[in-house]
Amino acid sequence: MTTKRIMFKLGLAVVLFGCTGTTPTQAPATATAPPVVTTAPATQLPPTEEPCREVTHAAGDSCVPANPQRVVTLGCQTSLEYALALGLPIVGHDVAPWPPEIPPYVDASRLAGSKSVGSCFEPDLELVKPLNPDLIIYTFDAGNYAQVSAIAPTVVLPVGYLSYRDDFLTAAELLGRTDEANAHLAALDSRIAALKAKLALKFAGKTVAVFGTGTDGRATIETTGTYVGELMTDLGLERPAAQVAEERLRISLEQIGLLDADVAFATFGYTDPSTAEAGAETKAQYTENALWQTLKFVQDNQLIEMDKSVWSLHGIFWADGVLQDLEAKALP
Amino acid sequence: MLVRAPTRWVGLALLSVVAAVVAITSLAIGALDIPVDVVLSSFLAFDGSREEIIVQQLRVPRMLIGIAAGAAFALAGAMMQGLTQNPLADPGLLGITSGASLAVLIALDTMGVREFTSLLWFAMAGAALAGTTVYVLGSAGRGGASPMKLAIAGAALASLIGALLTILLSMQARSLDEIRFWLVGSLAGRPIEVFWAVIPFVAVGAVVGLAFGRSLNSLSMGEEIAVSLGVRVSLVRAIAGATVIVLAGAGVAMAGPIAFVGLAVPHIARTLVGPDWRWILPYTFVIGIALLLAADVLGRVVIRPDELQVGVVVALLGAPFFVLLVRRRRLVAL
Repeated sequence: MTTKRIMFKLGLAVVLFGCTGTTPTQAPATATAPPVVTTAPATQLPPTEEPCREVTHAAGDSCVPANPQRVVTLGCQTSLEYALALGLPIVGHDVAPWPPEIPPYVDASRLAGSKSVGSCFEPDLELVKPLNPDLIIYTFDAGNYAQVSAIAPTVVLPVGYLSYRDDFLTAAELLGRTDEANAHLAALDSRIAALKAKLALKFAGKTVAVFGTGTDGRATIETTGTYVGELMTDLGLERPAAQVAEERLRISLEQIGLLDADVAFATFGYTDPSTAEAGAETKAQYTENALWQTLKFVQDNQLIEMDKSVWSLHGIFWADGVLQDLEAKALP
Repeated sequence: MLVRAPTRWVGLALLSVVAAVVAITSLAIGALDIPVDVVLSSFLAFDGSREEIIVQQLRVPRMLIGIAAGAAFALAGAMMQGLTQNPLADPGLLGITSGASLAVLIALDTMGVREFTSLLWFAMAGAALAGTTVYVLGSAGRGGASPMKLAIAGAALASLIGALLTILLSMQARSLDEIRFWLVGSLAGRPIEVFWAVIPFVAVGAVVGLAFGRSLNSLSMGEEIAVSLGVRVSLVRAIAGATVIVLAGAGVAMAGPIAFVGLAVPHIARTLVGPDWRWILPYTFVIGIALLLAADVLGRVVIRPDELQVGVVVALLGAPFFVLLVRRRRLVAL
């Protein structure tokens, strides 16, 4: 994990130097921006000399304003969660294409001043422009980086989906908010420690399987090398040997033995409602098969079904969402 | 090449043994290796262990469906080649597999049909509709249905249906895993009921198809000679066409549109026994079974613990193999 992080940092090659935001795209945006009430002390600086840092991100180079006033987040909830956690003022965000549009664990009141710019699979750039953003945070380049970055300086986050901490810290570094990120993680760690103590009473000495079934007859094991797996490790939960791996495992029914453990946290199907029937069929292929009864957590009645609309997402408030769901479902 | 009848019988028997060995291997080898004695005890002294359940509930249905699908696709391909006198023919050529795929996809996705027996009828209807359309288009104009006109009409319809499939898939907010999975072709995860639903069609198709050797031999001498030999050419074509539709429709319904088997297996058979359809058809039947099952076994071991779908394996391995075959020796002409 350490080497991975170093590689990440080298790859990012964050070049720090001050420059004045006088590019044609930026100047009118800052000039026409209506005054926004924020706690950030950005008003001390003349608007035309907003300092920015040149950064190299996943899709190119951009000059990130030191104190952005009007941030738009694109690419589903990850960039939205990061921006909120890092205290950036958001004026627009894209939403999930099916309900819930905003993850249930995100405090909706924090989005009161922000407008939806459409589905995160196809955000409507015509809705982004009138918001006059001075920074766009994008989780992945859906092939329209050129159009997006023409609206405002855009940072495409290199999200690796292996470590929720690394991805968050990398994003924070690109956005120049490392202190805020560390503070957020410190607070999260205390919530993790509190739940860890409670979980230990129930799950000490037991192995915990974490997996989900999909729509094509396969199951996905959230190994220790995934977001969920990292969080389970942080919570002190012991995983069966087969689930300690660097990458997520996709298995067919024949390998159902890899799911075996004393306890299982599972999700079935996807949140996309159009996949509901296929999800139910794959679930039935597993749970209504004689093989299912050979699993220890089934025999001991220790299968705990988790909220897939939380566990399957990514972000940083996501971790709190999982903690809450886990506490509600596993420690009733 | 095997020329004398006794050698051909021996060859057929040997290939049948190979197919049987591959079938038994497919019970033991998978994403999880199961010792042969456990495979045996699952039949003789079932005690409900996880491995025995895997053999009985996953691998036996999968093997049976592989046998049915391999035979159906290979035989349908051979019939197509004999019928159209075109060495590049397979059920895909006349738009039959794509017609069946489109019908299944519409049923699955737009109409929400999920019961297998209904999907089977959709596949048959789609195959029949596409086949008939091609035949009507290919027969129009002077001279009636010529192999060349049929092939062109088929290619045109197949690309039209391909476009419709793409439209249907791209209209999804996200293309569904299960449909993509199905479109590649797979033998996995089908319950035994699928086999029982399909086997009557495959059996009838196989019996009719295997009995067609003489008629295809006559057709291969050209339509005029066939007529002068007393062959009722249109009747032969109609029955053979219907057989292809039944076989390909059944194959698509149970395993998805697996390409290549229908094209390559008749050629492999032809390199072994020459241009006599009375031998090509049974050889095709047995080789088709062995090839599809072998590809499926391979797909289960290459990316453990996950599995590669048989449609992918067949295409990946089959294509270079086929090129080699074509380059090493001139294909035996039809």
